[in-house]
Amino acid sequence: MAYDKVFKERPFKWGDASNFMHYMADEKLISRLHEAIKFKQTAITDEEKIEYFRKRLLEEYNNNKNVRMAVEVCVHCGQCMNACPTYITTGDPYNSPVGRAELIRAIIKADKVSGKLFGKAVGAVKKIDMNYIKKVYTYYWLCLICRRCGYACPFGVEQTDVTRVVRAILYEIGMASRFTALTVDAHWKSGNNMNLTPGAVKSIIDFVVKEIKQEKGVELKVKIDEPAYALLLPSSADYFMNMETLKGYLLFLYAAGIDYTLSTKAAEVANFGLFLHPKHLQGLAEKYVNVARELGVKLVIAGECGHAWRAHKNYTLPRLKEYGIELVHIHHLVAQAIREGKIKLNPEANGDIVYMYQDPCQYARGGDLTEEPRFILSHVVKKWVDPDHNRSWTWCCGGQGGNLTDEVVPLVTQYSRLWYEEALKKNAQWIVRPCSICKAQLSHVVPYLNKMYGKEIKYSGLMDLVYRALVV
Amino acid sequence: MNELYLILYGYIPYAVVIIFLVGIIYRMATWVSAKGLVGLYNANVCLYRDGWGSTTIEVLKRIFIFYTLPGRDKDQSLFIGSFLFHWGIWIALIGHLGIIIPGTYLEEWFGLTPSLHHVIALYVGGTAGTVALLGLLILTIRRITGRTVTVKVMNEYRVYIPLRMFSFLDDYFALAILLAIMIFGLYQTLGITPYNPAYVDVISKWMWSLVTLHPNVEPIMSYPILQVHALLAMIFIAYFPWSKMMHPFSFLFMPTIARPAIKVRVPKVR
Repeated sequence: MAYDKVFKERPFKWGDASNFMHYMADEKLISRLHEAIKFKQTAITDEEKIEYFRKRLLEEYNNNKNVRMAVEVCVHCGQCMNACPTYITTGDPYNSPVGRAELIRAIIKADKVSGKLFGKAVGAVKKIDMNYIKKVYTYYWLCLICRRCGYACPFGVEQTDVTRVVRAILYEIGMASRFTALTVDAHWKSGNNMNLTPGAVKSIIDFVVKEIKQEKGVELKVKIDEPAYALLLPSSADYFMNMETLKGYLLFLYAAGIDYTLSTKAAEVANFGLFLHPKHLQGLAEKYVNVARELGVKLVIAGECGHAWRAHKNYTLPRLKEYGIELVHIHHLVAQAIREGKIKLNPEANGDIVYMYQDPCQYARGGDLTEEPRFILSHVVKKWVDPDHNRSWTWCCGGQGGNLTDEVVPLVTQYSRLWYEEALKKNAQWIVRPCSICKAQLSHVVPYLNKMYGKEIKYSGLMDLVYRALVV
Repeated sequence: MNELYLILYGYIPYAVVIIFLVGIIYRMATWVSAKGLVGLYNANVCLYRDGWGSTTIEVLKRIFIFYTLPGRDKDQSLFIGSFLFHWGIWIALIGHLGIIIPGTYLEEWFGLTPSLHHVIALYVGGTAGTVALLGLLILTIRRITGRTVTVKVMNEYRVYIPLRMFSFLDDYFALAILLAIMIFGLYQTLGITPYNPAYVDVISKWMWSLVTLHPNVEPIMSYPILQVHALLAMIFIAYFPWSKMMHPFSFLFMPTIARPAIKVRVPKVR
């Protein structure tokens, strides 16, 4: 299987995830990314990097509400530890919200009066060196940013935003996960994560339109880079990995009579800046705003992608509103069309399979998108079940937060056991996860999990099922 | 000696109150002034909480019924310990109002006779204190021994929470001082019997003298347990704003739960 070599080179050991350090981006890649956000890296030597890290950490602690409160309010009750999939499945205390937090709190504490007086007794670190920074890098990039800790914490302390801040500072000293850095770089250059050229986008759409004609008997006219009422943002992975999802968008929009366009400048819905640095997050989001304005659309439609939905809902949406443009998820429109009787669906088309709806983490914790997909699923399949851990308690697929990278597959396969076993527990045969990262992660780990458990679980997005069920 | 008493129980209480109030305001100001949300406009983590009404309900549910505490996978020790401790403490703190106001005023203003007051203090206050102590003991034992929680999926994942590994001097200090305050407080409360009702009246004379800005420490000079209880309480109150004890106030500012989510408006499409 595809990752056998990685499994051999990086075997999983219970209680110690430290051998799963993400590969780091090289200097060239980092400097290209710096240019994109007009950032000049001032810390070059190890000493400078250590001092820069410390200073910036204190600065961010003072400026970011969620970071400051996370550090100051946590009472070490441990509630987040049994909520965190990275800890439950690895048993490494540093691979947990409190463990990660303590690595940072120790530095902040060292700067406080109590830290200066009592040192280690209050958890302050005496001296930080590059090994310490590398430990921080390792564990902060293994965080899934799934926000389960933030929901489980009685006070709402969200370690994942501390993760994002720490990753940003690490990036500023030239330390970033290669996979995420490459993805962000591709997005800056080509407008999508997969480096799809405008020609490739057009060819794929032509191909998909032909397939839809063959399968559904209708000829779609898909606008590309043309003015329209709405701008559709599919995930770039939908152009070749999840084509059934893409077909679902196109056929639904046709059936619902919505005037829309695709953009070759924004053939993507993702925003990996969320995992890397706020300036990349905002810079990439501004690209979407600019494309929407250039095309003169009134509505932006986000495709199936969890982290993208979080970034769009909580950054792009308010920015678009400044220009009178609304932003919705495709599921909002499908649910609305079903309620209004605008589309006809035949659940028989999806067979006698028992489906399980598993909430992508970023839809369920802050995304406010759990009921619309369930409503849609009820209309497109004959039988579906919920996992025991559903909605706000859903399990991350294991690939969020930049953990889709190949070198951690043996580790994230462990992370993935939780949601996989949910399906087995309810005898579900097909997992529905309407998120591009989920689907990519499932493509990595399901073959291994199926082998491990001796089962044959299948998976897809939700729009794939809408596509099959749509009667046109 | 009398001067020392006067300083300790006549003047320092004012300093403690000032440190407490100024400290809380200062800490809240630092939370308010930190405005960033790591690049986003909103960091809400709760589902469909996009109005102030639902947000308020979320916050109140977390404060008063600790509804997220058992967790999806039921760590009952944290839930039960926290529930008992906090509710016990709240009731006991409300009861403390009855020892700030002298008995004569309590009767005049609220019709609370001394005998009824003593009965309430003994049974309600005593029960609340005992419940709070029990809760805190559960939390302390949990912290020292660690905890194993079973996450049930298809298999059972036994998750050991190494609480001691992530507990430090400040965590233990808060626990120790609270335990001591409660033990000394309970000792006095449970000491109330029909034959020994004096301490409520004694302490209220001292407390009321502080409230009226005419500190008089004479009434408490022969009550050493009360003095220790009050001294520890003053240390705790002064320590409160500079520590994690501030956590109850965090509910008002925490961006993940105390701020409504951004609402998605689905337009009538064309």
